[in-house]
Amino acid sequence: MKIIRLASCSILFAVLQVAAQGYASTLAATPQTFVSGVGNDNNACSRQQPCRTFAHAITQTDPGGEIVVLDSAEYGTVSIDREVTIEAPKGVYAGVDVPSGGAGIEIMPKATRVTLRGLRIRSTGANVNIGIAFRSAGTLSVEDCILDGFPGLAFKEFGITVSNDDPSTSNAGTLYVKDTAIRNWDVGIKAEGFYLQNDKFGFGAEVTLERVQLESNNIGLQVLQRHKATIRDSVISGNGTGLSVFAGDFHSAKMVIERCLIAYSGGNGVESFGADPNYPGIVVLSNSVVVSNSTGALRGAGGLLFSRHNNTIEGNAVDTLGSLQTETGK
Amino acid sequence: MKAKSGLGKLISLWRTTAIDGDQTLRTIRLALGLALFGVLSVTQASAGASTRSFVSGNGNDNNPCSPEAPCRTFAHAITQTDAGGEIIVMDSAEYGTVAIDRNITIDAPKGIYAAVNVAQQGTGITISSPNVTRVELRGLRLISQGADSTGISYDGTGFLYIDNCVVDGFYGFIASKGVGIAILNAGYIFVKDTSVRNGSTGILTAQGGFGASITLDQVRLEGNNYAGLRLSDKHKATIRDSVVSGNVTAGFLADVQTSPSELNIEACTISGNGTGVKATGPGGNVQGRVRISNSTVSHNDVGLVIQGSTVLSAGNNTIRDNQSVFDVTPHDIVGVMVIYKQR
Repeated sequence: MKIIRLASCSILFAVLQVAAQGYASTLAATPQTFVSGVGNDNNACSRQQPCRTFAHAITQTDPGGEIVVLDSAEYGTVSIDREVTIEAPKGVYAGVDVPSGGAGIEIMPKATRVTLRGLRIRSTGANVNIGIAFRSAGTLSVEDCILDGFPGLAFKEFGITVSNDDPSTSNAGTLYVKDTAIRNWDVGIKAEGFYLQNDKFGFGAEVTLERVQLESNNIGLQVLQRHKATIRDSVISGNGTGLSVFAGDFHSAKMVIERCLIAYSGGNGVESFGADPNYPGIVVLSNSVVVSNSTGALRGAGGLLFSRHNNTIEGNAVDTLGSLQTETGK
Repeated sequence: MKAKSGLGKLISLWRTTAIDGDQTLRTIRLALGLALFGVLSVTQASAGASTRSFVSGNGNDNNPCSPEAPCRTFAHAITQTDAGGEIIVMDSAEYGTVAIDRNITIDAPKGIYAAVNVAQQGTGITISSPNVTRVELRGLRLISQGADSTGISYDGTGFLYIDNCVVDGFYGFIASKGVGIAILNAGYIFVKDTSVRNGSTGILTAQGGFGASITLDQVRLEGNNYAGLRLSDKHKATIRDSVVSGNVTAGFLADVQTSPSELNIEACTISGNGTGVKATGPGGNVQGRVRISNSTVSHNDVGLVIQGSTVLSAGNNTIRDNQSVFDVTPHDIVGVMVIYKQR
């Protein structure tokens, strides 16, 4: 009996110890954690004792906190499960290699507010790779980043995907991309939707791009049904298709283009399609230059393409296909 | 190559000795085995080239180019970097010229000064190997140290990305020498946030190439003693949101000879040049075609010169006060400019 009591006592003690440790490690999470090329994941991720990888640092970071990169190195892939900012200040190179068949940075449903700044995300080739997989219904800001795909892998490589994978909400997230170059992917930025695809409820994603370079992708920006994108002051050059809207059976898809350059597309500079006349694809083009594409602006089946008539659409093999509609300045 | 043939000899020697079971031979075999192991590990070390190499002003080219033991020069670091890999600059220094023979990114993050000094008649960064399809250059300072030199020479047909670089002082005694960025053949070239200044020709597309597609965004072409951008036969360039200023002969010079070329200018400031935009050609089917929209052409000696080529305007440009100190009246447009309708 005594032995049993002793045993149960020590079990209780062990349980308490584990609980205490858990508590301690929760407490140890801090608002700012630090990573370094000479860091170690056994460290506390402090300024003096930085960690080595994003994946470990995030476990040590309070929700709403920041992971700060101290020096130039590769920091590995990370699945983001909480509100966090990953910041590589100017002057520091912070690489993320995307493994074959994987994602560089995944934003999971619980991560409602995430900022990525100053990262170099690079595909290492083969199979389905995603630079940044934005799966939450929250807000993601991508600033000062470079996303480099592995050229020549059709249908396999995506720079940024916006797709709500959270069955608990019908809404997709809000994506801001600023001062970022996205190159050599099958699709540079793709707004799709796994749970949203055929569902009649919920909101699509709102994508806002400013000063973005979409270069030498198969498709630069692709917006599918229910989603909306606004792109301004950006360069879309050397892609197969530059900017593409493709609405679906149940929902429209929309894109507003302001003050952009769309050039040297092997196919269409900008295109608008839809599957159902009740839910057209809608593109509004304003103050932009569309030159030297195979086809400049294509209004395809089920698509609407409005122009403010202040665009230069010249020097394409075919400048416009399908008549442009007029969007009057108000 | 030498290591390989040596390795082959060792393997064949090992095979012949393996037939005999004699003790001496066995010892020899062991020795050969060890030698083979040695050779293999050496081979492995060179195959140990990594996807990411690091260079530093305190580095050493005997190092493996890791973050802990960085190399000193781009030229050595590239031999230690896999095709498709990256060379990262860790701190401010001069890193020497480099001939790029594989797909690579050279990245000097903002806040770091990474220079390439180029000697007289030399070239800073040479890209001419047919193996090279994708090169990214970021944050570099290409500095000429003597006449007739070239900053970046691109003789490829793939993709070249130049971000946030300064290409300074590549002057020559004749116009064809002394070039900031020389595009010799074809391919897609993207230049952003980059200054090309104080040379003879800022960006030159060579006569005789297959024709490149060039995208320039937020670029400064300043103070070149011949032209900011010279566009030759078959090449296409589109420039936006850029400043082209103080170039002695012309800001833009599109002088076609036997095949058409194309230049699109959007939202640029073209000022203080000898001629702002000079489009010349034999006429007929062989014309340079220049489109200009939302731009300012002013304070040049002459605004636009159009001879045997076509300049199309969206009708929303500011073109005025182009007048040299010797002129009594402005010369805004010499030749006929055609207005096209925006849509």
